[in-house]
This record gives sequence, structure tokens and C-alpha cells, in this order.
Amino acid sequence: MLKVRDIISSPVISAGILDSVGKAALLMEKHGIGGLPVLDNGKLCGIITSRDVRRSHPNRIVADAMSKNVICVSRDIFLWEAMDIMKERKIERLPVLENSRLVGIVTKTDVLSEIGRHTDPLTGLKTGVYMKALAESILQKGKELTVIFFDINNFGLINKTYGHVHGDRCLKAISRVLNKNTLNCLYFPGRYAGDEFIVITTEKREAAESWAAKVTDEMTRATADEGIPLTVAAGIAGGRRSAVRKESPFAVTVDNLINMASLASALSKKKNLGAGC
Amino acid sequence: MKSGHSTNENERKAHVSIRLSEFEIPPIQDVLLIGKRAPIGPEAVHRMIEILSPEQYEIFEVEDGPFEAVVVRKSLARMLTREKLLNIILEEGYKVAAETSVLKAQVNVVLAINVEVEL
Repeated sequence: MLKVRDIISSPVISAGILDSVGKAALLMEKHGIGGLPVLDNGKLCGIITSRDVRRSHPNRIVADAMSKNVICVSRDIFLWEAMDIMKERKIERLPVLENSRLVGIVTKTDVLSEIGRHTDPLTGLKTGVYMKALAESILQKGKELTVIFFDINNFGLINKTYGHVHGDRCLKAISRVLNKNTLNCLYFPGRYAGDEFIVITTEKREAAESWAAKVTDEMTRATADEGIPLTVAAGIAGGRRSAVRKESPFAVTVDNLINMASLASALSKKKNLGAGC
Repeated sequence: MKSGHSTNENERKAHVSIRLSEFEIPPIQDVLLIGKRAPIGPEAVHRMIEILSPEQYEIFEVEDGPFEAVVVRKSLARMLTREKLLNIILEEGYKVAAETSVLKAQVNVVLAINVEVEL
């Protein structure tokens, strides 16, 4: 889920190494695309873009106009990893290889569009599906993973008492607090569902606990500024890894951690504490 | 009614002239200067000369100026160092070339040797 394999364009429209630049330009125009992978005897050897075409004489062969250093990715990398590569290398598309064979191409527009589909329109935070995939990728890299689950206390009552517009304002205020406190790229916030938020981090549990306690206090202050003071329960799971995880697929581990954090937040709510585990 | 005069006026003829000469193999003589926006690029030239005259030419990529690459007959590089030869060729090429140019050059290197020997 949320991997390059989910959005690749296939079959790939490509140019041959001995095709003319003019032919490549016509192909791009016909299919409304800005670049073509270049094949030599079926093997990927370069990429030609509309920029290369503009700079070259149309009679040239593609081999004399293409970029030879092609950056490729596998089908199994996550979308944000593909996005990071394109940003870092300042490129617009990535050929996708499987066993050294070209199986598709993915563009920056495709990736942004798919990531956009996993952005909550009200708060601008990432969705639960995105957060699960992000957590899975952290585990795949062998890093520490701590899940923090936030649940607003009595949010249903607030909607009924003040109306949904005011309820939405509170949700936005809480998401602003999360955004403000996650600028360091150590914590990643998302809206899990309804009045539940999730934050994942590569920090250890102890650091995550003090972070969560600080943030829940800020949430209370921020919602008070909106005229409806709320309290938020937080539950924490994970962050105590002592060895490489082998026992279960990463997706199962992520689900277990989210479930434990969710139960911890419910317990915290019962105890009326800020953060629990 | 048709007149003979009007028939002559409508007459059309084609004049055919033929000039035969030998095709130079390869058609690039000693040096070829390839502009950055020339209709043929270094890879195409490389493939052409490897088919027409294998192992007789070398291709050098050029970073600055209007040229992208220079093709030099290997035998020339045996008489002058590669750097000296390229400097001379590029210096003259820069004066007349544009990025769209493909220039061929004939280069003659004559070694003048005077040796004094005891009689």
C-alpha cells in the first residue's frame, strides 16, 4: 500500500536509442508526456525529456540527446521515498525496474496526486492509511517505532452542544498544535479517524511520553483559545525495541502497536490522565 | 486549330548532368568538430566511424565553447601530443563555428628534421 507499484504507468512508452529526436518528440506529444525511457536492445540505457528535445537538433539520434545517468527505483519503495529521490535529484520521473527489466514509470505528478488523496481535507494531516504505511517503512529500515494515539475526551458531546462547525474548529486547532510540534522530522502526525489523531516517531518511549504530555497541555490551551476547552487523552505503544524484529510481518506489528496505543489512550481517558500506556 | 509555334512554346525538356567522384571513406577526413546543437551527435558519429573505419579515430568530449566533441584521426595523435593537437584545432574552430556547425578539417603535420653528422 502506498508503494510505487500501486501507481506506475505500464506498459511503458519508450524510445529506441537509434530513434531520431524528432520521433521521440512526436511520441511525447502524441501521448502527452514529458519524458521517455530509452531502450537499447530492450535494456534501459537512458531517459530523454522534452527539455533534451528542445536543446537538440531533431535529426540527432536519441543516444546523442538523452541523459545517460538514469536513476531507477524498485516497485516496492514507498511513495515518499520516490518523492524524496525526485526532489533531491531535481527530476520529474523515475523508471521502475524489476530484475533489471523496465516495468513502468512513475512521475512526480502521479506521486503528489496519490499522496494528496491521503491528506485529510479538514486538518491537512495525513490519513490513517498513510500513517500505517509510513510506520511500516520505519520498521522496514530497522528503526525504533513509537506510536502515540490521541483521543479527544467527550468530543461527541461538544458537537452536540456547540455544533459541528465549532467541533471542526477544535479539530483544526489540535492539528495546528501537532504540526507545530512535529517540525523536527522526528515525529509524524496524522488524523486517524474522527476525533482521533496519531503520531509516530523514531524516538524512544520515554522521550515520546514527555513529548505527548507537553502536546496534550498545548491542545487544551489551543482549544480554550477557540472558546471550547477540551482535554485530550494520549496512549503510547512501542519504543522499546531491543532486537531486530523477525516474528511477524511489519504491517501486523504496526496494527498491533496502533491497537495497543489506542487501548492505552482509552485507559488514560478512564483514569482522566494526560498520557498513559 | 493548333499552330506549330504554340506547340514549341509548350515543349518541356529536362537537362541532366552527372558528376561522379569517389566517396571518401570515412567522409570526415582528419578532424571533425561537432557543435552542441549539430544535426549529428558524437554517439552517431562514433557508430558511423566504427562501421566505416574501425579503430582509426578517437572522440574527445569538449566542455566549453560551441563544440560538444572532436573526432581526430589516431595517426595524427602519433605525431603531436593529443593536448597540443586539440588546442590548435579548437582555437581555429572557435573562430568560425556555431553550435549548429559540423566542421571537417584536413590537417597536415609535416615534421622538419635537420640532423648534422660528422663527415
